[in-house]
Amino acid sequence: MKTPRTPLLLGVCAIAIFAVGCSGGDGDVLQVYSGRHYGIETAFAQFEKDTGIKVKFLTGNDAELRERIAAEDDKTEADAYITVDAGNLAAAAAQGLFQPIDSTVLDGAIPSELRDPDNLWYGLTIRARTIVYNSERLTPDEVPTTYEELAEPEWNGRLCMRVSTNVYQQSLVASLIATHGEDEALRIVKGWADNAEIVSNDVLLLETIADGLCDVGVANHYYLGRALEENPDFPVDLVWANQDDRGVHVNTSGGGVTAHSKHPVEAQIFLEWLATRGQSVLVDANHEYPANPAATPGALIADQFGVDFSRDKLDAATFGALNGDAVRLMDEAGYG
Amino acid sequence: MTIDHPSRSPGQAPRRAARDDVSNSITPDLMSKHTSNPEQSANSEQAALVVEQISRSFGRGARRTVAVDDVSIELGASEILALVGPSGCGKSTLLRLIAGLIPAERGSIWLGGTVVDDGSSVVPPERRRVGLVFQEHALFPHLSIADNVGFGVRTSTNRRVGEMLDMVGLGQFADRYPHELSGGERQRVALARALAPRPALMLLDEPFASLDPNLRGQIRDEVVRVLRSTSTPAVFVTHDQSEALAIGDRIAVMRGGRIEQVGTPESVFHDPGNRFVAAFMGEADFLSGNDLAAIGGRIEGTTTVMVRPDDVTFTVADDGAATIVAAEFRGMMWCYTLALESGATVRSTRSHLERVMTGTRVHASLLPGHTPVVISD
Amino acid sequence: MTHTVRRSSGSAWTWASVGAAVLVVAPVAMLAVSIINPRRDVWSQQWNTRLPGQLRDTALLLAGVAVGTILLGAGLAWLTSAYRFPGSRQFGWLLILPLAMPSYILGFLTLSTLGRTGPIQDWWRSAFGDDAWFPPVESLGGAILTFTLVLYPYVYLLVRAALRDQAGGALLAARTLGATRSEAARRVVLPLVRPAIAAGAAVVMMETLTDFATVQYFGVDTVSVGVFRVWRGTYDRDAASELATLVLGFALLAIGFERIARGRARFGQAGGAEAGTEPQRLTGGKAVAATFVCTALVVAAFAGPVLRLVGWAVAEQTGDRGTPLLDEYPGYLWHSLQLVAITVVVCTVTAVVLANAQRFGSPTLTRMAGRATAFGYAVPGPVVGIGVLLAVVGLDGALGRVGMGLPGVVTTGSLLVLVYAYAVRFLAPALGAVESGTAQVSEEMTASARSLGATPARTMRRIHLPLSKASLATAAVLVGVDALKELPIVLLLRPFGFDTLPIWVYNLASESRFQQAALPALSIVVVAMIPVMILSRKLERPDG
Repeated sequence: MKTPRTPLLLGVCAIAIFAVGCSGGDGDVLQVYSGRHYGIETAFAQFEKDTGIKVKFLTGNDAELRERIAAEDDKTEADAYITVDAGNLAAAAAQGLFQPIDSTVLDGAIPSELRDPDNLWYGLTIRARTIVYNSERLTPDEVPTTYEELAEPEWNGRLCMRVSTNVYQQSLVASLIATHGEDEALRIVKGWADNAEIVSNDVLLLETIADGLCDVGVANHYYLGRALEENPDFPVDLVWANQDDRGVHVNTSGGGVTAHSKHPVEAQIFLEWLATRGQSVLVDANHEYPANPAATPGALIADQFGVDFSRDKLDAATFGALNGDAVRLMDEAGYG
Repeated sequence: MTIDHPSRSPGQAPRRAARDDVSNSITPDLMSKHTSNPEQSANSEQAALVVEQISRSFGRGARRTVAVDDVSIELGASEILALVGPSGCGKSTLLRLIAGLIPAERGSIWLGGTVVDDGSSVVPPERRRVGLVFQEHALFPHLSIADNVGFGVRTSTNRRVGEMLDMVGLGQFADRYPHELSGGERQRVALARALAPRPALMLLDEPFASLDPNLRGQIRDEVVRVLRSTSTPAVFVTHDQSEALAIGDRIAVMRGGRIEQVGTPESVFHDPGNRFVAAFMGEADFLSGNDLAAIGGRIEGTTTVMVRPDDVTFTVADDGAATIVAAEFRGMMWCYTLALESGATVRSTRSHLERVMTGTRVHASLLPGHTPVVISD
Repeated sequence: MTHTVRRSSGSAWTWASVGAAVLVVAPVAMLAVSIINPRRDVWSQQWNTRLPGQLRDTALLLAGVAVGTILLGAGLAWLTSAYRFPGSRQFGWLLILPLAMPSYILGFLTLSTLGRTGPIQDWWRSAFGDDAWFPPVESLGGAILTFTLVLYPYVYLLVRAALRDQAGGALLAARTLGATRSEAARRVVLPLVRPAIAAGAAVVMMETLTDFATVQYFGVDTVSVGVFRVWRGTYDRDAASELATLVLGFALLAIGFERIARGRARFGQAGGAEAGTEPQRLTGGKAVAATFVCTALVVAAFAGPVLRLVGWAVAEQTGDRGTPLLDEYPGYLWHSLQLVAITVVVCTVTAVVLANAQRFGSPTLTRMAGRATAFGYAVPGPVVGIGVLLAVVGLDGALGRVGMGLPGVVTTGSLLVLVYAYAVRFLAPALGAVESGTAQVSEEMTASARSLGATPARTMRRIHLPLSKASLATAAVLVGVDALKELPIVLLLRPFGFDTLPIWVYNLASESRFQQAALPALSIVVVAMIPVMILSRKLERPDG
């Protein structure tokens, strides 16, 4: 019967709760809240080997981790906060969640447009969101070259775009607002909405294009890198958008030291390592571009996409601050 | 509670009220309009149960219904009271109030001299020593018969359980389970279970209603026998008036949450206080003075009188003023409906040996010795 | 010698039940409070853009899934209880298996298999041409289909339990009165199992309502997705909270529907150890049809997806990449099991107290308390997570002002807080199952026990609990499987180093690495199958 078992179970559980609940705040361990989930264990293991500092990480969603750090305030266990989207870095900076870092290494390694002007955070990898197309169905001169072009009626029914709930798409729209102003951006996004089939993620988007159901789309470059790695004959290619004007929209994955970090020194060493020696191991698994110009990009993306392309120098603080406006604009445009 | 009991110390139960009282309700000891029976006053036994102006309603606002309305009853030490009334009259609610399953809104309840519900404090059911038997036996299906019967008994379980099972004649079923028994057997187990902890009062809520009619009388007699042999006072709730007449030392008739009449079976049956009680307790026909005269009775004024089928007889006569309009076979007798000249009908029973056809003209008359009852309603 | 007791002897039960309800409702109440000063700009902006479509799509989705799961769940429960056909006994428990499949996994499997770029449609186009029409899967219909397949087991389980415990005797009675089996089903059994159907449908609707991830695969924009978009996109937590009250509004509707669908009847007929009636043997075409339907369902909802996952997992393992963090698997498993065990105990015990309090305490208060706990289930996971986070932080702050602080075990990032959030979220289904089990114990039985001297506690222990074992087991399994599959709350609130199996899936699936996530996904399904199968075996065995 239940009766004799239940107290025993409850007792075991109580022990378990206390056992786990009381853990945390270890002496020599760096604790990182990371919005990056893939491949980081390799990088962190390498860091540990190189420096002897152990890293424990907690993965999650950028925005939620930021909420948690903010809520935890001075009780937070996070020493560093790493994101996949620069908008969240800017928001975290604005919320006062970072402490400024004084590091010539970081200042030298990361270009100024990819870091916070007050040294609150530093970008570590580059994620370009650019135009992709079916290389079998489009000839080179048919390929669109700007984001704005995709709003034209000729692309009606031939365009694939990602859902509005995705942070990369939001950043792209934010950059449109920053560049063109709200009214023009609204016109463009409305054009996209009219033309596009909305897909839930970039991998699916690329597959849809490969199957010939769409001709063009907009995706993060590294998803294409992944697809090509799995299948070198994948019939999709990319073109760097807006090379004749501001350059392709890039988002940055990066991090900073939390304001209430218990190990600020180690956290800084961590970021410095990620920005220098750790660049390759950080970017290669996922085919991202390194933020440090001195680092060598991975072979596949270097071969397939090239390394010399012009990037929109719009700073993250701007498009981060405009993220909310971008969401509202997509609402208004009827963009799914 | 504003009733004054100058002669009673707190905690002492009032004395038992007299029998044969035809008033609307019996209030314990105080009111001077209450006619006390000298014999009973000398009896200093504690009343097993005193219910004093109990009220209870359900629902709120427009949907509020008064289930029990200012009810007072008393039960003597080994008395069996039959609580009878149509469905919805509040008898089951009253039983639950006594058992402590629901608290009263007004009034008080005393069990064996101890107050169990007086508005400010309520004794929970498990401490009231009241035994419950329901229409649906409510035996615990996952326990054996022996465990069922022994549920309320903490010490010397085996002996007491065996005793109780033997008393209801089911000693050999101790290790069986409820679903293996018949309806009648289960009801007997329910009785044994309720009696095992020696309750001060038994409450039975239509306990035989779900049994076969053939079985019913048998089980009923057995239950009454057991109650008497253990001197356990009991309140039986039933909607079957013939059952009430057979079991109760006294009968309380309820309607619409109120007690209409309390008294011995004979007095309630032969001396009903109003039309409702009269019709409820048995077949009754109500006649005006003229109609009564037509069948040979005499009464002053224009009051209504009640007669029952066994009060009326008839002889076949071509010049008779009444006609047989219906005949109902009842096994041991025929019940004829007679239409009088005025159009009023009256029923008459006759032995099964004589069959009279409908349409026959008859001369109806009152049987000698049967006095019609004046109904004041 | 007067026993003076507290006015209501059940007051301890009432207090316990109200207390539990307050604890569970507190984080959700913080949501409702935010609506006191509504932000007109947010509401008008949303109303002019997404809200009308969201309201429509949410209503359609809920209605579609409710209808689908009722038809499937109740229909299959009846089919496998009342009839015998080839495989019927096996299907009895096989049909519960989809419970082990998380909706987010089935979502991307459905999409990747039946979607436009999946193998089925690829083949279709190659066979019938590029323009050949195929029912669009990335649509409301696809979402309804997926949710129905994942969620029908809730209805199925509850109806089967009700059929087993109650309907046997009634069915027999109806048939002796001359009704055919299907007539008896409609007129006698259906009313008897209405509460179970209603409770199951309510659970299903809550799960659908609070989902914000799986629906997105199908391009369906519900109010929950709207909350999620506003919160993550505009960083405006207050606006998101206000919008979340819309979700609560739908939940109220669903609860209201459930109460109406339950009907007024309260059934107190415990069948107990009474065996039901003999199932009727199907022959010929009917038998084939029955077997076919059941097989199709098991394949579509479980076997098919599992096979696809196995295929992917094998491909990944034999390829160069391998599955990331595979050596961490024991840790993930252990943490998942820990979390599940504690949550099950907390939720089941609380549900038992709440359900029994309705028998022993003030009927109105305890019933209200029970109803209130439903709201935790109606709030999307991340919102519960944030609500709990804020509640704990607020409490800590308040204590700080008087010079105290919460003990380390209660701060954010502790298992206790995570379990608390799980209790808020999952108490409702546990309570629903326990309540329907306790309802089968008649009032007369409780009254008999109490009149025989048993206190409420003893009555609960010796009578109510043993007689509702099946529903207790159901409650434990429902909560356990839900806790095992849960993602948004554990993602947000877990302590450092406390990663579970769903976190493992998330790390991969959030990067759209679905094939690599196959093995982690399979691990969840396999682990979840164990309690599910234990439950189904318990249901098969005629229990006392």
